[in-house]
Amino acid sequence: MTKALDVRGLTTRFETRSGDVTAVNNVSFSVERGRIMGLVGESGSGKSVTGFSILGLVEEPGHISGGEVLVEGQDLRALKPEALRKLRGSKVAMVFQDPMMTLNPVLRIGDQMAMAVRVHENMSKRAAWERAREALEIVGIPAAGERLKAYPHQLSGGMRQRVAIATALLHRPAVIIADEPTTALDVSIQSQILAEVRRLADETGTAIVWVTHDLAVISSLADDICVMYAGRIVERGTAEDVIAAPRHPYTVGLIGSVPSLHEPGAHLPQIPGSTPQLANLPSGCPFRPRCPRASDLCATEPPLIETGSHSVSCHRPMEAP
Amino acid sequence: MNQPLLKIEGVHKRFTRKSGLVMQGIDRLTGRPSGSTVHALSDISLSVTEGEVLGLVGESGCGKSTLGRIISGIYTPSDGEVFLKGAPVARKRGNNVEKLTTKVQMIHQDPFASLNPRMKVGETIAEGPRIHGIVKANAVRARVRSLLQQVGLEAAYADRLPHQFSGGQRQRIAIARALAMEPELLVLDEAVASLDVSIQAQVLNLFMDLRRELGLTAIFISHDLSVVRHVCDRVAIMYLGRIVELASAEELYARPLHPYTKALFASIPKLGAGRGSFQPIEGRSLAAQPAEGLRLSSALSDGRTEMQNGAAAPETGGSRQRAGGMPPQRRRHRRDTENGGSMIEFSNRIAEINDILCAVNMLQWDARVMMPAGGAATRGQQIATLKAMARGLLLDGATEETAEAVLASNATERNRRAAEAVLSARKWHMSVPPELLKRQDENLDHRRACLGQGAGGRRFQPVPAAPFRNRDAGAANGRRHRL
Ligand SMILES: Nc1ncnc2c1ncn2[C@@H]1O[C@H](COP(=O)(O)OP(=O)(O)OP(=O)(O)O)[C@@H](O)[C@H]1O
Ligand SMILES: Nc1ncnc2c1ncn2[C@@H]1O[C@H](COP(=O)(O)OP(=O)(O)OP(=O)(O)O)[C@@H](O)[C@H]1O
Ligand code: SF4
Ligand code: SF4
Ligand SMILES: [Mg+2]
Ligand SMILES: [Mg+2]
Repeated sequence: MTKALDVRGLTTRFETRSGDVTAVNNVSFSVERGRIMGLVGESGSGKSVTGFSILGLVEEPGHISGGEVLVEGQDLRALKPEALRKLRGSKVAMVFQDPMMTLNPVLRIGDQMAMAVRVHENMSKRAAWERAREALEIVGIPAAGERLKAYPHQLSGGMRQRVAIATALLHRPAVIIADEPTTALDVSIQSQILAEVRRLADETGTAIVWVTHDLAVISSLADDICVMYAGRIVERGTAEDVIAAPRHPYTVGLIGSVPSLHEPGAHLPQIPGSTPQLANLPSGCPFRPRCPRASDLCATEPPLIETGSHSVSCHRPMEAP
Repeated sequence: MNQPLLKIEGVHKRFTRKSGLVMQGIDRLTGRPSGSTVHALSDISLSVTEGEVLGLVGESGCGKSTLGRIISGIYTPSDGEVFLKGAPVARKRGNNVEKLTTKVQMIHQDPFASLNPRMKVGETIAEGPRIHGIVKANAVRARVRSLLQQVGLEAAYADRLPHQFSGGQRQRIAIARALAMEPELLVLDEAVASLDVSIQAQVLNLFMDLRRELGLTAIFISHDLSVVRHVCDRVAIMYLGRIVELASAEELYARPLHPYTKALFASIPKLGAGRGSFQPIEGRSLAAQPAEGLRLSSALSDGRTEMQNGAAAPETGGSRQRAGGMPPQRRRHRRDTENGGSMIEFSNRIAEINDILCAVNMLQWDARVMMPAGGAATRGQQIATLKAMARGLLLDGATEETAEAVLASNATERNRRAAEAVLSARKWHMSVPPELLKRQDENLDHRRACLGQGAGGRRFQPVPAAPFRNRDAGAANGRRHRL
């Protein structure tokens, strides 16, 4: 099966006042049609920059310094800017945390969606409007025809986020990159959107990269999970494997610190130290200063250890079950 | 039976929103009645015994923070009363609220904005006790050192500035500052919400340790049900300003009785429960109904004008972060003589900031953010500024210094950008020329015709490839509107 998205060795660097930082460091993963890949990690781990890099949307002072991004076999990194722009929005689309980054506040939903359709496809306004209506229905918006006539401010936050997702869906893209799209929403609204997104991947075959810092969300939504730490993917596998049998000490610590897995009131296992500064990472494994399993070996680059579909980048990972 | 430490009797809270000029314009435009009343709390009664931790849970906008602020004496209730050990916590003095006790201390979500960046941490902690004479002058230093140790920091940190600390450490400092007042009741409003999971565990452990050592009584506000389960003895579930269920944590989690509680529990994704393990609360999300006429929904103001029967949207986009722990604030309207327009001077009034945000959304190409000295800001700067404010970055007068400190430190790029926006925001004014407000009345189609034309500055482009409009437009002017 050709992969909807195949990212190989993607590396993005920023030249900042405090020196060069590698925000995305040799990141590789792939997503098949109809599957949802969860990209998790703490603040600053490089999730968003990975998303932007996939779409070639990294801005100064950043630049993509290496790697390939294949969408249905086509390398986006090899495309001219003009061709890449055409592809965005049609073959790959992005949904942001703030739907107002996508929506124009002064246009009716229907007008702007129809306009988006017609940028990429030659069709009548009426047909475009109809396409927009279908897209709204797919994301579970009731009375979609009515909603098309509304302005963004007339919709609630959750509704607007659905519209943003629907807009991303207009051209039936092969891949959607969604960056924390439910983080700002209330839990009850979030769960509705998650349910729609799951259904959408299953029914339309769109491959989705879902960026989040919320482990609970990702464990109940994604098929596969990549865990990021300091710009690298430290562990990758099916959601079941990563959550139930994590092998990287960081993933173990992350999952262990979630309260719901412990008796109420019990002392929570905690990862010592604080999240790392990209500008001054230790040599070898970036998790070394906080890792309970660290040994002298860890001052050298950790190897990638693969068992089936589960891979981990660590000198001394937890035993595979 | 212990006498309750805190007793809340029949508390109601109504906010009357007097429309500013911008909102009046929008109200006219949309046919919404100007100056509406929000019933944020309805008939809340409960009591908390000494040593107990009570959780307050509910969706965004249900009134958790409002209740927290009433308990802390920051707001007074419209009806009803709040007593700490039998004495009222605050009283109304004309238009002001007078706090009657220092024994209730509140800890906010954002450890970053709540500490004065210019003040050494030790001074920040000592300030309250010194002013209120809680500790003798010669004992202050020792007290600060022991408080720092108590919250798991080194005593020597007393001489550092806040920007030298991480988010988790700052939250510890905020806790130390509250403890310095020897409070009988702590109100923690989303105190761990902005922390990364691994850091959140550290702060929760600290809270539980302190509780054991000091026998703390606390109100713990959170939207995270698993955190609440972990630290609370009793939990109140709130919905649209009411407490719909109140029970011991054990009881509530084992056997939720109220349909809303059940739906809420079912809708929360749980770690390790497997894929699709959550049950969305069906279409009932009030926000899911088609907009009635042109009544504006939550993001615009708070859409809660007619709250009876739950007929308005409880959901405000992004308001979880936004509403977290805001102190009472103010906004000023002023005549801007130079422009002949009306000017809104930004202060840190969050409720109104929703309005401003929406006004800017609606007036997009006409609203100008101006520096006092002249020089109109770019769209990107305006939006970044407003977002910074909407996200609650402007918490108090110290914010400006915080932002400067952030810039001086090696903060993350995101924080740095926010800081830059904040710095600008403090100095800017948004001015809307009066002829614009008139024009609004004419019609929306006219507004659409104006797209891409307005006066001066960078123009707002009609959507080309919609999903990337801002990204591409951002690329053109070299900035990204992300905070
Ligand atoms: N424009 C920029 N200039 C310099 N550094 C940047 C820039 N954008 C991002 N970075 C750096 O890249 C790193 C990764 O940032 P990114 O936004 O991808 O984090 P994230 O994992 O999405 O975090 P969050 O959960 O907070 O959104 C950060 O350390 C950040 O400081
Ligand atoms: N100062 C104020 N002026 C006007 N309305 C207000 C004010 N403070 C709160 N409100 C309104 O009261 C209602 C309850 O707000 P509150 O901040 O208590 O909610 P919350 O439960 O804390 O929500 P969140 O989870 O988003 O923090 C909201 O509709 C809000 O818009
Ligand atoms: S490589 Fe070493 S330091 Fe890094 S996670 Fe593995 S055991 Fe820990
Ligand atoms: S609608 Fe009736 S059954 Fe449902 S929560 Fe309200 S009172 Fe209870
Ligand atoms: Mg991000
Ligand atoms: Mg709140």
